[in-house]
Amino acid sequence: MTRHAPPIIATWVLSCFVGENEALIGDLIEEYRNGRSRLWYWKEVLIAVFRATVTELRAHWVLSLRLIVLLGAIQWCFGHWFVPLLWYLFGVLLRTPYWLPVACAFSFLLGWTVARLHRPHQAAVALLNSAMVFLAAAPGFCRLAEDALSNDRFRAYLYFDVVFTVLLCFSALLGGLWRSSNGIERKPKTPPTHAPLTPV
Amino acid sequence: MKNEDYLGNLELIIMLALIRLDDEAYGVSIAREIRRTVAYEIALGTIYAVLERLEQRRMVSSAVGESTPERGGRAKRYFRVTAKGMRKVNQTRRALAKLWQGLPQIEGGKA
Repeated sequence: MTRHAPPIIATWVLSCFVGENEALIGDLIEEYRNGRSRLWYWKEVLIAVFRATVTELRAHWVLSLRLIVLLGAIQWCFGHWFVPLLWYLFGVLLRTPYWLPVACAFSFLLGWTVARLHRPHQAAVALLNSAMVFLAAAPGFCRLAEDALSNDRFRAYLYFDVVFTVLLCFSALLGGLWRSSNGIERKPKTPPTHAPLTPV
Repeated sequence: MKNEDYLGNLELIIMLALIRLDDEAYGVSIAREIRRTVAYEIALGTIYAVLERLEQRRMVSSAVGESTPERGGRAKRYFRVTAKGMRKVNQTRRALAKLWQGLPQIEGGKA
């Protein structure tokens, strides 16, 4: 990758969240090519993503609230019914190494479905879903952290749980953004130069 | 008086930068102008969020400009302060001037 090419993943993430605001993406690329660092670029992308998500969710707060309740219910059912059932049926298969990809695949699918069902606000909803996955995992994580502090034996479980939680959140976000990026209308990247000013 | 009659800190800073830049105000130039004059770094995402809010309140208008290769072919979006925006800036300036008047504790650099 040349110094002049901005980080591809950061630009992709940004375009998922502010797809309609091409001017912002262009401004970031212009500043990056004027000598800003990759760290600066990522920082700006994360701020823009956070701003766009908060604006979107605040503008549609009823939908956001409904989604929080729905996702909470899905995750509760998953944790309290579905996982114990799977353990009962396929206990051996669900030993940690095997369980991880299954859970990530489920998380990815959940993110994709949630984004698919909320087309106008896909990226914001994907991030909300990811945050909900994290919140669902948080109580168990806190208990494990408490145990690890009192007994070293639990430290390995804690490390695994950190990786597990991060992967779950990442899968949920990736699923939503994947759906979101496929939904972005492709526009020609180079409109004619010296175009007259047109009101937005 | 409603809260909407006055501009917030960030809104006022951005509006003043727009006035200073006149026809050349777009995301990057606004950020640079603020950095140059008051040494204050504002994220571009924040600038756009404020500008969109101001545009919804009809204090700012925008127009799509030319695209250049160094922007990855993306067009610039130029912003201008509307007559309503100019009135709000003046209202805010008068309100702040009134608040600054008669504060002997601050005059002469004493806190």
